[in-house]
Amino acid sequence: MAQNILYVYCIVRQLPGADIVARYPDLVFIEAGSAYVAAKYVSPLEYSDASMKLKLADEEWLDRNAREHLSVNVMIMAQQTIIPFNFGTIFKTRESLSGFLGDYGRKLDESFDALEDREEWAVKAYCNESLLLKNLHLESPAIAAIEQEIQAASPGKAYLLKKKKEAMSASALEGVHQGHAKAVWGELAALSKEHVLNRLIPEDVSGVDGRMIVNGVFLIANTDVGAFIRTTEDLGERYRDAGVFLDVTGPWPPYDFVDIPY
Amino acid sequence: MQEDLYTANRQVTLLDILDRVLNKGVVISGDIIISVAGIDLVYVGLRVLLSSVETMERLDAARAEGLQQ
Repeated sequence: MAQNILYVYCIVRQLPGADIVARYPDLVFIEAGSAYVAAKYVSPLEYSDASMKLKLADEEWLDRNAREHLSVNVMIMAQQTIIPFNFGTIFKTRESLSGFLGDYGRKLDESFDALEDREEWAVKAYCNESLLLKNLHLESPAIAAIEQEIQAASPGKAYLLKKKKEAMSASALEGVHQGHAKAVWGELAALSKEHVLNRLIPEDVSGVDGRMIVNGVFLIANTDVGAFIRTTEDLGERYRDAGVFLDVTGPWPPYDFVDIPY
Repeated sequence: MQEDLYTANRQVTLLDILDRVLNKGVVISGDIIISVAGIDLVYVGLRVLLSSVETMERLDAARAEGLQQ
């Protein structure tokens, strides 16, 4: 066992309940100062750079292990505040882990205090562009007018007018996206203690039939979670006809609101 | 456990998970990188999926600027 390396899940202040160890028998809790680190010993061969390169390209392995990482953290989080490690974080020795936590020192306590009684929620807002475009053409006199011109124009002129109409539509679409994104973001940010705007995920990657316009993460007081979810539902209702829909998930381990200095 | 997550009646996808457990949201790139940070701390930085980093960053920067105004 001594030669094994440590795969770490999260930092906690108390030893968790026996139910968690019963479910994940490989889990160990390593005492480090006033905190504990949930970890498991793994083989250095299994987690060598060469081996990991192969494994990370294996979607089945990635899916299983990312889900396990999340499950362990979510289960512990149900009992107490956690500071999660990113998926795939490994310490080579117990001493290096202790040293890391020692360096982290006071910041650890500050992070625990900042996360106490708060939850991380993710909201992605998407826009159905075909519905939005249809509405734009109905509502914009300029676009409607150019459409009429196209109908009456010669083929050559119609081609040029179509190009002009496409440019006008794209510009109008961008403006509407920005307006909707701003409205959704503003209302949700107002309900949160902290918020982070993450990278937008393109449609071919998200697999969702709609363009992502907001990828937000919010730190919400436990007592405000009900109001936060109701607001997302309300936003979904209000913007439905505009082609906007929201995807809400949580509570997640607070990945976006801890600052572990790698 | 994952099933405890609120997901409005759908399964948690791998993309949902990687978008969270890799901290900064999903990083878009075709490659997978394992980087060593610090003397004996190994952090496996994952870069998943497709698309163009430059395009994404440009779109994000413009949108983030607009939202924060």
